[in-house]
Amino acid sequence: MLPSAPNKKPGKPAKYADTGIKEVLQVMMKEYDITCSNLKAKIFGGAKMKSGAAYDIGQKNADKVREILKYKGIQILNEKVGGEHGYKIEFDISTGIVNCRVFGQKEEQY
Amino acid sequence: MEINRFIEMVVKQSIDRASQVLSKTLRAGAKIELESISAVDISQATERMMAEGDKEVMGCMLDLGGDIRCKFLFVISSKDALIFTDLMLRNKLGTTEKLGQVSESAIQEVGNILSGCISNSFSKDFDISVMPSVPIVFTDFLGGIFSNFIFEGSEQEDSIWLVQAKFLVVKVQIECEMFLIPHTQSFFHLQNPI
Amino acid sequence: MKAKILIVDDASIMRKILKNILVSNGYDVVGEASNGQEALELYKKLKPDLVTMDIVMPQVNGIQALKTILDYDKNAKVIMISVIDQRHALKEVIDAGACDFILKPFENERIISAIEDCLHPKAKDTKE
Repeated sequence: MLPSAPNKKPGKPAKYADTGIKEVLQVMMKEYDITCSNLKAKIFGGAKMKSGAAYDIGQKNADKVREILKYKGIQILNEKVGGEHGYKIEFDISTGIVNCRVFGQKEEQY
Repeated sequence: MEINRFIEMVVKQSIDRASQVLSKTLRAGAKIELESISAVDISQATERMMAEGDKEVMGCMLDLGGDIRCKFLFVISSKDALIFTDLMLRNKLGTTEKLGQVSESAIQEVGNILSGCISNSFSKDFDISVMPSVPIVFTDFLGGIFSNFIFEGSEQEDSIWLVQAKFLVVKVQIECEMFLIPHTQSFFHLQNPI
Repeated sequence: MKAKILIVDDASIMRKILKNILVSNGYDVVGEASNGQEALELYKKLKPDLVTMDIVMPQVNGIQALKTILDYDKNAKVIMISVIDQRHALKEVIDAGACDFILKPFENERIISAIEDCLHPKAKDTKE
């Protein structure tokens, strides 16, 4: 929802790009012994809000996610971000393929 | 901050009035079901929506402002928006075949009428001034529209007041939904109206 | 002669609905505007006999447009048609000089009788 948490221990870490990604990586490490060097990423979403001060928050979130992944050494294989409509994605965990449909457009594979 | 019983009652009455106004607008009876009025965790609020997150809908969103602040959202499936358009224009059902400027305008006006009713209701019951803003209409996945809707309230807080009401237009068996997010701080002085 | 009416509402469907009602009752809809700014421009150009005016509109709202039109033409006849039914708003539009105020959603008959009353006001009884 937002790029950066207001403090190191927010009530909802998943609400922020920085603490959210950190939390996912911690779970992967703790539960599955997976480190950043084993990971690659695909990123989706970050559309513009329709109105208000949060209009550009999608772009800011996408920028923050790229920054964090780069810092963690996680390669971004593919991405589809931006626009003005919602995203629907299906991630096949066995193949790593993501089917992505942006509202009003055809489904594409990533 | 928990929702005061008085505010809860006023909100319920305003929703009842909204269903009467919707019936009058469409010249078709609309039943109302107030699904919830409570402080909810934003994760719970979005989880509920994500179950139908890829449903294609038309939404009308605006702000109620003045002595209190509140966000308003009306949503209807894209397919049913066509029927709404025909009802409003008193056309034979099936006349409007494609979404476009006319159906967008129909949903805009329904949102305008419902939000006007809600703001009038708050105005009378709380003796305050509340005005709706110019509505914005968009067609998108329900999940995207709802995320947009709750964003402002969720930016600073992890829980929001959420009012969720479902209308059923009986004649054509169409369901549509209305949501309100009262801005808690602006409602604070209404907690003890006397 | 048919009375000339200017319809002002940001929702095109409302303009369409009103136009249908007015035309089927013998009025001549000479123009349509979607905000208060356009309303004033068209009023000056078309010189209608009466204006129907929404309140909540982008750029220039209906109350502001009402005042501006009456500043331009103190004899202008404007009927407000709106979702707002609040004391402060009603007082403001009546004080500003609106002919009548109709709440949406409305019955067709209410529109027609308001227009007729506005165009042909009944003479007030006077005691000598």
